[in-house]
Amino acid sequence: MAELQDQGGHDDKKGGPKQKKKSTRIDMTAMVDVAFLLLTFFILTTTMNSQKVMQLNVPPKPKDDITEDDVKVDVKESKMMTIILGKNDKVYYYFGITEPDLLRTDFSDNGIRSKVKKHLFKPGQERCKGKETEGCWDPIIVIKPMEQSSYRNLVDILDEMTITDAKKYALTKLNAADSTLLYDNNLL
Amino acid sequence: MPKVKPKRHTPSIDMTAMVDVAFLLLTFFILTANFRAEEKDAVVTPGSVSDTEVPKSQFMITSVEKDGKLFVGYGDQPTRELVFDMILNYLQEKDPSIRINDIGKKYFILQPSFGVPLDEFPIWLNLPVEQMKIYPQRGIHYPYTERGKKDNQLLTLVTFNQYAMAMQGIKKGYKFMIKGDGDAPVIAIQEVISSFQDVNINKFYLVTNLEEVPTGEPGAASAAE
Repeated sequence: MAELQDQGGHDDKKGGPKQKKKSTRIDMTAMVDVAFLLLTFFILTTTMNSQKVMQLNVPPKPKDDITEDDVKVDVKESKMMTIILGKNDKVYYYFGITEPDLLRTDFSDNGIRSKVKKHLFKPGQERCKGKETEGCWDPIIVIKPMEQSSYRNLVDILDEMTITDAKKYALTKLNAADSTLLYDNNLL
Repeated sequence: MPKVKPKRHTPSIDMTAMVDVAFLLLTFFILTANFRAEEKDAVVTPGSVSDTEVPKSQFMITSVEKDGKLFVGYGDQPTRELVFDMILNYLQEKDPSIRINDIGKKYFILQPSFGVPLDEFPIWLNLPVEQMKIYPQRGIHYPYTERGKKDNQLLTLVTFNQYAMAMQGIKKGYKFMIKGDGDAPVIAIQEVISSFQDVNINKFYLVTNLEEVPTGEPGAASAAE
């Protein structure tokens, strides 16, 4: 332990009444204790907070006088992959629009990510870059969450879009055809 | 002859350097720490690979709890003050006798977020401060809740926020954050988004916890940018 040491005062006998010399040593143990305690506290509290934000753009709401058919865009059916988020973390997906074949998967490693990747990266076909859409593979993914699915699933699937580098994806609501499809598969 | 005793010294260590380092680190951590304002909502956000920083000011945040309960917060005090005046005006249009005292107004301006339905404001903010703190925050009405179908208070608050932005001359850079609990139903979040879309806001920031990008995936590079 560091202590106040009385080293002066040995040559008292020789001279007159000299003032005692004291070394300026201070016991810093307590101060060190406090400093490290606070340090530990601040280190622990700062690393806990790792909240970030994720950007989400949604298409503007159509005006009242415009029906859904008016805003429909012509898209090749083969480009389309539709992902439906179900309850209890289930994921359903199908390709194209007419006569879709509903397939089931989940969020595990071999789940939706591999299916999305299979759709995005076709062997022998170059992905479209920038604005070009002719003569290259231009996949589109549509995400439709069911009402019973959780918000976590939505964030997870948007995350998968980032992870798999799916450039074109859209978030919309289920339409009548999807509801029928789900009903036919006893999933509603 | 008496034996020569070795002089005993108390073992002392010079701690000056250690103290210097400790305080340097301490100062660093104190200065870099952002104290998170006390929030009334208990929201466990889901994880994502996105690593964009949370905006520090100029934002409006809507938090959705597990059961769909809605909280709204504004990032800066001038906006909160303007919005408060508009809320009071809105309430007085319905009932001109409504008054909210200055203590209540000051208390409101200091709140990072609130979940008291607008019609309960006169009751909530005229209480003594100690009771304001423990007032039950039952959530703002929006179309996901039963009463919100007729009275979409979120839309009212978003509209007030738009007015407040215009009054302060803010045109760009204002951010709309949605902080949802992972277990909240998607439909609740969709109702929130839909209310924002009614005033033509189509760009959102979802608050998430940082997760690592799985290595070797195509998006790893773009997510890290």
